[in-house]
Order: sequence, then structure tokens, then C-alpha cells
Amino acid sequence: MKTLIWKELRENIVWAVLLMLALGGAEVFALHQQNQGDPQYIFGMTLCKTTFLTTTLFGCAAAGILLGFLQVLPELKRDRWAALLHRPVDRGQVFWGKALAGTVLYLIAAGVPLAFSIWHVARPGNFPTPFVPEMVKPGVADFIGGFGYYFAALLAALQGGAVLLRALPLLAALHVSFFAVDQDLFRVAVEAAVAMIVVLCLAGWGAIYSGETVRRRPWLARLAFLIVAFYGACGIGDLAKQLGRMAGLVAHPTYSYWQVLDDGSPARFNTVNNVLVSVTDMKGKPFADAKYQGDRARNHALGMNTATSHIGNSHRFVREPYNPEYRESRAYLYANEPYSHPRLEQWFHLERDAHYVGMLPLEKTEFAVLGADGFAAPGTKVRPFPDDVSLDQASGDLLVIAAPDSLKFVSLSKREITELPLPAPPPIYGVAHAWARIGNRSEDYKGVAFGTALAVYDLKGQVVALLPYRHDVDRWGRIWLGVLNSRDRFVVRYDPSDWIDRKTRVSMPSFVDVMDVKGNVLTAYTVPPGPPSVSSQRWSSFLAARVQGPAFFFGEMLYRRVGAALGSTRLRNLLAEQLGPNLADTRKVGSVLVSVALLLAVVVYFWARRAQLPARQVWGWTAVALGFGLAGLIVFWLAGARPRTVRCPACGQRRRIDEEVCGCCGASWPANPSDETAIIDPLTEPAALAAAS
Amino acid sequence: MSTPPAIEIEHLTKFYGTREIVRDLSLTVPTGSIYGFLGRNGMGKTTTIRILLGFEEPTRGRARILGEDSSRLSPATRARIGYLPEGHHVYGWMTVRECGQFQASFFPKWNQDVFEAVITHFRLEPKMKAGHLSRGQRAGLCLALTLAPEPELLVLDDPALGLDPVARRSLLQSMLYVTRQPNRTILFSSHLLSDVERVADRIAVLDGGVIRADCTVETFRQRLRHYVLKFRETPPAPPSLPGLLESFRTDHELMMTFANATPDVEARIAELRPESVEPVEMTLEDAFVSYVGERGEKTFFTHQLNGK
Repeated sequence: MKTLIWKELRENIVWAVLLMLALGGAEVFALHQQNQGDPQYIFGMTLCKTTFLTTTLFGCAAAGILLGFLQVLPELKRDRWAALLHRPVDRGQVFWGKALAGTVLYLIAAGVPLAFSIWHVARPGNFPTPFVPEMVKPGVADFIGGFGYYFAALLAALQGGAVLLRALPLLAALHVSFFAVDQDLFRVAVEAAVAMIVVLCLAGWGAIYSGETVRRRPWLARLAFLIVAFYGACGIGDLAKQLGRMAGLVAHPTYSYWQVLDDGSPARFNTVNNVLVSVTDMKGKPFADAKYQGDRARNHALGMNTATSHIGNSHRFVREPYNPEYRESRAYLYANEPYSHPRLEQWFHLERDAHYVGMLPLEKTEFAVLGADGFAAPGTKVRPFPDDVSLDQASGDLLVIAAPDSLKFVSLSKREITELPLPAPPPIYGVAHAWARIGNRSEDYKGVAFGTALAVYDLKGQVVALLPYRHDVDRWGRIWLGVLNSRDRFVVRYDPSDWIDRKTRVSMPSFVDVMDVKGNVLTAYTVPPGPPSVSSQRWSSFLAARVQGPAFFFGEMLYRRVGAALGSTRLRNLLAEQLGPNLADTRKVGSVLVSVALLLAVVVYFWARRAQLPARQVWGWTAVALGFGLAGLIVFWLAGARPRTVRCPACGQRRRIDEEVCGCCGASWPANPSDETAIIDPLTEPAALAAAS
Repeated sequence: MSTPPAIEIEHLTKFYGTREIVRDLSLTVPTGSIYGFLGRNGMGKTTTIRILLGFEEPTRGRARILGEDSSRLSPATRARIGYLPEGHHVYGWMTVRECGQFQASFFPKWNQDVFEAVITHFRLEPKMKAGHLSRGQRAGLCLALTLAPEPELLVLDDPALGLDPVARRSLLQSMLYVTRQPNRTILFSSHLLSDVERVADRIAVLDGGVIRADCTVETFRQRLRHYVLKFRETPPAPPSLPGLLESFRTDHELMMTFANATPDVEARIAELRPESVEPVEMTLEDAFVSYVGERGEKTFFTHQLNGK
């Protein structure tokens, strides 16, 4: 084994080093791509930057594929492969020798560049953002995913058969990549990638025993290969979905939503396939004013933000924290808007440590930190802000810190913290940013939600209005604030509280009050619940999205039901949506999926019968098609053993070439035709042969 | 009690797609024999060898090698089989010494003396890069790597392919070294009949995926007869005779080659009333070419040329 590993390393180290240099260069280049026009890092910071993650995602996959192929393909030439395998070692050892060496090579090719990138980012003075160790997660996920591609390439190279069959492992790895990139949680992405690595590795180990036929491989490898084939078929579905999206086949849902216009009146925006088609008032009539007609209405919608999602805690509602995807910088670091007076500075909120770090963008160094106890020198360990404190940057250097019982305005540039008097009894439930447009500039305000009223502050800390709640905030506790451009009118919107279940919430009305600075209601609107959104996905896109078939469709439903029973709010909401407003759609889709799967199962049954498979295999493949629909059919088509047949010389029917007797007439194969020219001499003993020679 | 055969092939059939490459092939290679495996290109020799060594699976039938099913050869059995594939593959980046060390690590019975003797025989320096060796030297290195584990059975797939006469002779000499040991068996495929003639005890001739001859070299040569019949006039067309492989008619001669010619056939030849009948001794190469070459009648008449 040691010799095999040595040979593999010696043979491929050059490739690994070349890949390391290429990938390392690309990653560092991606890290240093200019961030101009993106001061708040919408496209991500350092190790979470879109360009960097694109490089790691594709680069690690490419490195894995190249190494996997390079380790096997050049050796697959008949004689070279035979020379390798004809050694007194188990073929499994040959595979593990390759795999272990490949692991080392992959670490060099993809691991070293990633490690270097991390080190480069972590070194002070290289980037104008703080280094948060957790930001390595997406890169690490891509690195692990790329390792999956390595084993996929090994398997694809070792696998005999048609091109599509060989491509299945790569498609399976692709499916896992799609899955991992879509996940919120790093843990889930890594678990999926590691599981696929194990499965691909076992399938590859089996393939070295018998590349030609799956059934001659060890049972564990056969099982692994079936899993690979299945996820490969899902990968085909992913590709179909992407192609469908590119070709415009994937339609968007049709839905209505409402917004407050810049005169304070609510308006319903109606979309079809995500395209705004009309804007009406609450009675369904179009507006007379041309500026509110059609697409132009978007420009005249009032900017409103949520101050709080619920008032009071009598329902013991705990709001689920916002968890951005692990691939987003936002999960680790939030960039405040930079300001340039008296010098260019930018503050970053470290999400896990719950404190701020101030950076000098030009010098790329840290200059201060801000924690619950105030400002401190860079590098100082500060007390984190408690969980119940709301932090909100108003504009430029102003930061609002709203604790349940106190409100502080912080001047970041002056390093000053001012505690403001509260105009209403605490606790504070949240803060919202609001603004009025005055020509080309905007004037900013802060709305602070108390238990009985919404206080509006200007940026100097003066209360400009106290707006008492006019509705039952226990049930309508999601409160929004907007400021009309005249600056003397405020719009307060009341939506159903978050603690109310979704099914009830969608049937409840909302309210909009236009108020003056004294809190008098000038105009009040009641907004009836809108029609439920209608999913108008086309069947082609739907089938592409759910190529997995009924097993996945009903399995997902079961998973949600179990998850909801175990207390997951997310799964409960998803299930409620699936069985609530979308029930008709769910039923329609379910019945179509089952019908299609039944049809495909019949096709597979007759196909397998025609291929003269044994009865067990016929029923097994039929069950696979029934459970997994199109994916099952694809797996059978690509991976199912379908013995070749020729016409039987005796009965003329097709018969398997690997069976001794015809399945139809029972005849054996005819003997070779006798020929007077054959020279068959009875075998003599070797001793006699030796004597003769 | 007789020694079990080194190789037993029973009704072996191999299809690639729906193309039959080897058909119902049965062959027994006795332990201690040198077996020449002959046939034209594409007749299934290499496929049979690859099935024997477990690199491919038979469509039907089975093969046993040193008593073990060839599709499930254990590492211990593999250690007893030396295999030299036709490409003479070596890892070009290794030196000759490294090649030896690499191979030695797999074989418990590695004989360094044999390895050194063979590489010396081929004038190879241990420090030479394998990638820089000539074709003959590479063949020598491969043979050294194959012989040094002292295999009980040596399977050589066209070992002399592309080698010059000197290298071929060296290869044969080294190969014969193995047979000095008792109970060593060699199965080798080749197109070079002179080599086969020199070393093989028995031959098997594969034609169109079917074994057509399985006999000693001497028997093969004896069973093939070539007659030259001379005529005063243009010779008659050859009659349909059993065992007739090919015939060639010229202005005054009719040449016929037979396999398994019987006295009855000779009597039928005499019925053609030639001026003379001359049996011609055939070399193995001539016999082989006639045996596996194109069958049927060929003619060459000078009067036809003159007519043009």
C-alpha cells in the first residue's frame, strides 16, 4: 500500500502543484477584486465575497475532477491497467492507495490555496474589514464539496459503460453542490457533502473490482452505486431546472401585495408571473392620478420599515432569529455605512461576538471597538451587547442602541454616547428607520416602538411626534412607520402580530393610519386580506424540479409533519402553507406525480421483462420507478443491468447472450461447426512433451 | 497422480456488444508446458488472455488458472502468475532500479538475482530512466519484472512485438530460463512463428474466435500438406476435396494445401492426371499462413496477361 501511495504521489504531484498555483492565484485575485461602489459589501466581504466563493466553488470542483481523472484515465489503457492490477494485492488496496494519495494531492491542490487565502485575510493590514474566523465556513464547504467531485471523477473513470452512466457520479456531486449552496446552515451543507463523499468513495471502491457490471461488485459498493445513480438522476433534474430557468420555462407565482403610496393611501399591486400588471385602490379601481398607474406607481410607494413584529409577550412568543445563509457575509459581519468626516471610517458589527469594530478603510487597520460598556481601544475584549438590544444605524456616523429600558444615540465619529429620555413607558419593542424625500436628499427619522405609542425621533435625538396606537396592538403588533415628504404627516401601518399562526394571519385585515405630529388620525384605512398567491408553475418546470417522484413529494410532507410535531416553527409554517392556501395545488401535483410514476413503473416493468431480467429485478426496478418517478426510470435506463440479446438459432426469439439455454425454447447454443481442417491432437503428458521437444 | 493443468478453459464465449469475439473456446494448458497461442490480429487471443487473468469477464463459460476461477483470482494466486502485456508498459518517470523496487514490494518471493541477471542481459543500467529506454530495453525490463517473482505460470501477450531480432533472441533466452525450473508453464501469444517453433511444445490456433488447432508443433506441421501438381496443359480447376485450404493455379501448375490430408485425398489428386505430384515440406510459418489465411482458389495465368 505504501508503495502504491508513493507511486501515485510521484506520478501526480506536479499536477497537484500546478493546480495549487492556479487556484491559489485565482483565489487571491478574487479576494483583491475592487469593492468600488459596494461600500456596504452587498457582494460579500473577503472570504464570503461572491467572486471568491465562485472561485472556490468551481475551482475546488475542477481540481477534484482533474485529479480524479488524472489518477485513473492515463492508466486505463488496457496494458497499463492490466499491469497495475496484475499484482498480488487486493484490488481494493489499489483503490485505497489511489484514494489516499488523491486525498493528499487534493489537500495540496485545493487545501493549500484555501489555507493561504484564510491566512492572507486574517493578517492585519490586508483588508479593510475585520477577520471573523467563522467566515471560512463557505470556503471550507466548497473545499469539502470539491473532494466529492474528486471521488466522483475516480468513480466515473473506473466505471465502464455508456457516457451518461459514467457521468452519473459527477451529476450526483453536482446535485450535492446545488443542495449545499442553497442551505442556510453550514452544518447541513457539510453533512450532505460528507455523506456523498462516503457514498462515492464506496462506489469507487466497488468499481475497481468490476467496472463492467455492477452486480459483480461487493454488495456495499452496489448499494452505494445505486445511491450515486439516484442522486445523479437528481443532478439531471437540477440541470433541467437550470436550463428551464434559462429558457424561461420556470414561471413565477402570481400574487398581489399592497403598499402605501406617497400620499398615505394604500394601493394593491397585482402581479402575474412576477410582472406588475396593475395597481388599484382597495376597491379594485385604478387610480385617476397618472403617477399611480401601472409600473410608475413603484416610484411613488412610501418607504416604510417595521419597528416591531409584536407588542407584549403574553403569548410567550419567541421570534426565530434571522439566520442568513452561511455563504453570506451577513451571517458573520454587518457593515455599517462608512462616513468621511472627520476622516474615512467604517464600523462593522460582529454578529457572534455582538460588538462593533471600527476600521480605517484606507489604512486597513482597526482603530476602535464598541461594546455594551462603550468605546474601547482596538483589540480590547469588550462586553457584547445583550440579545434584547436593538442596534440600528441611522445614517453616517449615528448608531441607535435601543435596550428594553433605555435609548442611546451614539456618534461614532465623535465616540460619544447620549442616553435619551423616553417619552413613553418602557419597554422598547424595536426601532425602525424612516425618511422623507426632500428634492435629491432625504431627511432621516427613527421610530421607536413602545407598548402604547410609536415615538418618532429626528437624528438630533428630539422627539418630533408621539403616535399613540389606535388599534389592538396585541393582535396587530407588527407596526411599520413611514414619513410623508411634507414631514408633518406620519403613516403607521398595523399588520397581524407574528405570534398569530400563518393560516389565521392571512385572513386578517391590516390598518393604515395617517397621523399628524400630535398623534391625531387624519385618515384611516382598513386593508382587507388579499387573495392568496397562486402558484402558476408550468408542469415542465414542476416535473424538472421534482424529478425525484412521489417518494420525495410525500417524504418531504412527512418530514415536515414530523418536524412540526417536534416543534419546528419553520416546518410547521411550510406544512401549513402546503396544506393550507396551496392545498388544491398540492393535491393536483400529488395526483399528477403519482399518475406519472405509475405510468413510468409500467414502462419499466415491461422494459425489464423484455430485457429478460430475473423476476426479482423486474419487480425491484418497477418499485424504484414507482417511488422515484422519472429519476427511477433514468437510473434503470443508465444503471440497470440489461443483458444483451441475440436471435436464438433454434426458435428465432431474442435470447440472452450470457445464458446457456434459451429462455424461450430451452435450446443450448449450437456447437462450433465441425470442419475437416481442424487439427485437434489429444493432450499428452507434459513429461512426454518435454521429451519430444 | 497427474499434475492438474495450469490453465483450463471451458466453453468460453465473449461478446463485445453483440459482436462475438471468442466462441465456445475450450483449452487445457498442462503444467510444465510451453503453449503458443497463435492467430491473426483481432481473432481473440488478447481477449482470452485478459479473461484468463480476470481483467475481463466472460459472457459465458469459465476459465480456471492454477486451480482458481479466473474472475476471482486471489492475490496469492496472482503472485504465482507472471504477466507480460503486449505494450511493455513501464512507469517512465521511474529508474530501472525504482521499477524493480516498486515491483518487489508486491511480491514475497522476489528474486533480486533474477532481476539483475535479466537487466544485465539486456544491458540496462539501474540508474537509467525507464522512459528513456529503447523498445527492446523496455521489453527486457518488463521481462525482468515479470521473471523476478519466479512465477509458476508465465503469460506473455505477444512479447516480441516490435522488437529487433537481437532483442527477440534475448527475450527468448530469458524466457527459456524460466522453463529450466520444474513445473513452470508458459502461455504466450505471438505472430513470430520462428520463435514459436523454437520454444513451444504445443500450439493453439485461434481463428475467428474459435480454436481450430490444438496440437504439438510437429503435428501441426505434419497435418498440413502442400502439393505441387505439374501439367502439360493448363491445369484443371481443383475439385472440392475435404481439408482443402487453398489452391493456386498457374499456366502449368496447380498448388494445393490441405489440412488432415488422407490417402483418399491423395488418390483423388492423382485422378487429376498431373504429369507429376510433388509434396512440399512446409515451415511452421508457411503452414500457419495457409491455415489461417484466405481460403479458396487463386489463379495467375500469363496468357491472360498477354491477352491484355
